Amino acid sequence: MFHFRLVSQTGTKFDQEVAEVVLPTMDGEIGVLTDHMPLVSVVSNGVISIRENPKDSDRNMTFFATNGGVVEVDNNNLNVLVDEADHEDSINEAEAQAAYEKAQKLKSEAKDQVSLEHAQKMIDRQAVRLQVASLKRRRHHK
Amino acid sequence: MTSIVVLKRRINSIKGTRQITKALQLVAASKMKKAQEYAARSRSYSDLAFSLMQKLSGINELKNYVFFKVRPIKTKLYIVISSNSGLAGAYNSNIQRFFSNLLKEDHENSVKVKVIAIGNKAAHFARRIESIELLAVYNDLGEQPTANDVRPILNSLIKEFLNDSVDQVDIIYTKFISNITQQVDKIQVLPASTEITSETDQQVGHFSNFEPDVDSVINEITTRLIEARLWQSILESYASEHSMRMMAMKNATDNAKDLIDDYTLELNTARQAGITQELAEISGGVEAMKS
Repeated sequence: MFHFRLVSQTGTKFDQEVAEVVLPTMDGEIGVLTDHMPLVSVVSNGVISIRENPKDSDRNMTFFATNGGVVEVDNNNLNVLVDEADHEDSINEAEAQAAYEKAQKLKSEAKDQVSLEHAQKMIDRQAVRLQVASLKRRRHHK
Repeated sequence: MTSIVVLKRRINSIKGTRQITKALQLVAASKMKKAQEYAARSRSYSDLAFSLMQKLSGINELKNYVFFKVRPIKTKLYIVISSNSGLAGAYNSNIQRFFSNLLKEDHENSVKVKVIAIGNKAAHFARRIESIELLAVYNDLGEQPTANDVRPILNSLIKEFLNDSVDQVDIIYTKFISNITQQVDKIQVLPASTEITSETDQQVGHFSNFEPDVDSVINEITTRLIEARLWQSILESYASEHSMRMMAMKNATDNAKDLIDDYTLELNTARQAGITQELAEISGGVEAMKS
């Protein structure tokens, strides 16, 4: 077990002992377990999955949608600093879907580089939220 | 003695002023509450960002990396955070005094000064001083800026630093300590390596692993951490501004009340004196008729 702290710009989102955390980084997903080597890396857009107890199955993992940040592992402390982190329960799939479509529309209408980038960012973000929502749904169906 | 008409007019005018200051006080109070909550929410983020930054700056192999490398200082960039409007007590003048002292110091060391002003008041002040080069003014960040809103400021300060136009970047902001205590303070954001405490010394060398590689990690992380500090200092400043405005307006309202009390007393004395005099005149007249 090690300590995992997930802090977004709007406050601490997760702060407790966990067994395993899977993070999306620039180089692909990394899994962090107890006694991980000291590491500093960059979190990318994606899903953070948390296994709170070693015996929990994949179905019982907790998910957060995130859009990038910094990760630091040091002496069994995992600190993750991200712009935003949305817990699976705070995501409404219908809303995320609507926002995703709206972002797509924005992108198709974008006239300059800045608004195009902005729209793309929104699309990426909503895509991750949708992914988290579907993970959650799948779990409830089983 | 001032005439009754004049006193009445004066009291009415002060009552009008009191209504205005009272309204401003209430507005500031509600904004203050929001600003404080907002600043408190992001504090854990910026605290963690800061401690990570400290750890990183303690690593020997990073000492020569551009964000951490200390250069001889020829030009400094100050980001001065002030308010757009006045009537906030000593808020803006405190910043101005603090900044003036720094300018004096820089002048003695013949350091050139550039300024990015946040809020109109800082811009006015910087424009008045010839030796300062005012790079930009941001006066519409809104009540609750997000980290995204400060990104243009962040980009320009990093650009200035990386192309060697400036050798050091400091933020001047007002630290929110409590509702009644706020303090102007300075934090150095670039180079990011000066504040090394004994605690961080022990952690030197802990981070030997950077993924994918040192360059991209350091770039991303430093940018993010500077952003966190800039953003947090803006939020702290906003919370301070609204607190000070509320206190100033509360004092003004109280003062107006005292004045009204004083003038009312004077008015009553004057009216009583008038009545007494009239009575004396009447009874004097009666006595005269008797004889």
